[in-house]
Amino acid sequence: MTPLLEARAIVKEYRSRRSWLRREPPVLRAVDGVDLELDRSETLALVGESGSGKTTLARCLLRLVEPTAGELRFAGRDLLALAPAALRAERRRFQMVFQDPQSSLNPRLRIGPMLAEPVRVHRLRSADALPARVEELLAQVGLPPAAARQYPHEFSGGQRQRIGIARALATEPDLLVADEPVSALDVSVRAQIVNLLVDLQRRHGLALLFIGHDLAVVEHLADRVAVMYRGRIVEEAPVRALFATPRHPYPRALLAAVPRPEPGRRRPPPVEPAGERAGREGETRKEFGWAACAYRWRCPRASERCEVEAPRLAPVGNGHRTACFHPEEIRGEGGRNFSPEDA
Amino acid sequence: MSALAVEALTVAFPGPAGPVEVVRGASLRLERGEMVGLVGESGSGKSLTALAILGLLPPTARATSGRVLLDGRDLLGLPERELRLVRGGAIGLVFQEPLSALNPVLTAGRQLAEALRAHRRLGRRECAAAARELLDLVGLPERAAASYPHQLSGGQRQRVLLTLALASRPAFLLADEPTTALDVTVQAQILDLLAALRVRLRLGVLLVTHDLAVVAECCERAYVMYAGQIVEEGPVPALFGSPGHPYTAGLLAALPRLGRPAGRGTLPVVPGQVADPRHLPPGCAFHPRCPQAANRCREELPATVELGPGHRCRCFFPGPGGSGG
Repeated sequence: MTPLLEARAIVKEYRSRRSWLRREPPVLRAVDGVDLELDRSETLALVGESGSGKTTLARCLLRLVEPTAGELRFAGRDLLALAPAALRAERRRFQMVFQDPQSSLNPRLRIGPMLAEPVRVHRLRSADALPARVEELLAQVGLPPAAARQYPHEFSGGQRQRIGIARALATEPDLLVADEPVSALDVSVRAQIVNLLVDLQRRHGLALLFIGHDLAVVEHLADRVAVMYRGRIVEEAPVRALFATPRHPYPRALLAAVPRPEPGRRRPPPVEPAGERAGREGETRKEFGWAACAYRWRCPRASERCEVEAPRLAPVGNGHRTACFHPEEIRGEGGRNFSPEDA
Repeated sequence: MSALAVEALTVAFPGPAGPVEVVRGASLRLERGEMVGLVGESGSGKSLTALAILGLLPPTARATSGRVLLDGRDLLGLPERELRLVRGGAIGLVFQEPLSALNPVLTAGRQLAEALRAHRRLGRRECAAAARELLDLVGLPERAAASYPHQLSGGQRQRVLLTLALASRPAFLLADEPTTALDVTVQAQILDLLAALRVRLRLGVLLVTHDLAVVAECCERAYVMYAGQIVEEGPVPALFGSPGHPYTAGLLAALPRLGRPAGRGTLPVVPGQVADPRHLPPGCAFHPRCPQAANRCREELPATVELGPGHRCRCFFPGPGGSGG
């Protein structure tokens, strides 16, 4: 069976403006040759630090920004070849939930018309069936029918995110892309939204691309995880494998750095990112697309080879792929710092 | 023994229907050399409590009652001129967003020199030496002084901000969400740096955060705020091991944790929405979300009860029974 979404060698470059100071404007490769597949009913999480290119990649996958290069297929159709009208029609099948429900909802629109609009535009219901559909959508995200008559500012952050999710569901999509949907929410409300996403994903058989930096949330809801660093996927694996035995040094460092709500637990000392300490951050930022491993400045295992050649994402067994010349060996049970027993 | 104490502090904003109290009788205490957490969600009043200590409340907000005592001296009534000596003097402050807290058109070194001259009246040469020492203290190379804020990474900026806060050799440091805008790997370094500074300079650090995991890792004591009140306080092991207030228990249960057994069960939740200070429910502000709320909770504000050494909570029915019902 073909995957629902198939991306090959996606590249997105941004060019700074030309100025009299520099003739050749520098090129920033925000996404640097990413391959990705997503099956129906599957949840794939995309993690990485800010600036790693996860949001840009997600936007490329939905053609919200045009990739500079690469191939993109959605349900077997070449998405990049679609004309604007055909793309708009196809958009019904993939929808996005944004991080900040405050800025992504029109403040002047009541919730009812807001949810009815995509249904009407895509002609999914007749005009007289719209109110019933709005009520149904609200119920799906746990809001009362009366919410339809209210404005976004009358709701709390968690409720607004529910509205954002309802709006995405309005077109009955096959794929939902959620970009940090819980990061802006209060801790006590976060779990509610995570539960809602898991529940909807199961009930509707949705494919879910979840972008997040909270690794505990990712472990909770993902089937598969892809870790991005400086525009490239450095590791991709089923969730259990990635969290128990990360092979690439970057996810290892990420996992080790997560603080845990367990007093008395000693976090292993942070892997000193050489760039951070030596003020090299600025230099490494320019290196997107270079023929070298982007992580080598921070890597405790970097060798000469990492300086001259970019490691490619390659299988290391059990559906686990890693882009490293010196991946961590798996020794017995679990990883060093974060075996399940450790928690 | 040098100490910073907040006693029964109330902060209010004017509202169309009378003053809106966003901090309601909060008391806390910070001693030199300890790191104490102040945890709460948005609107809980945790940041305003920290700002009130330094007289930095937004223009419309007012501390309507209570005291802020620094070594026995009340800071709340101090004239601005004297307050400025305390601010960045005995008490340093670092913010969440170092990019907006730094001046974008001055190099890190210039800003540091300014702080040093203002608080320590150093000459040019002494100033340069002190700046070098401070940069080294926070783990920045000397050449960082020549950089403008935009040339530095998020972690480096936060380190620069720390040098400014430490320039006056303060006894206390108020850190308002100092790592929230940072990535986890950088957060880990900044937290380790704070822990090291605290020991080395015998700093009393008040860590204002929404992140319970950060508190578990760094603090020995913590205060939990909800709707402007401190609902629970205690040593971190007791607070996390046997939370007394159902809000603390609910927050802890709702945290997804790494290494939990497989399977996407449903996460336990704290039902409902965070209380809105403009429409606080009568009685205990948490009762609409509380799994064990009784009639009494809807009518009467619970008093603070002692649960153990230093472990107090504001609830009629405290105890491990509150763990999410």
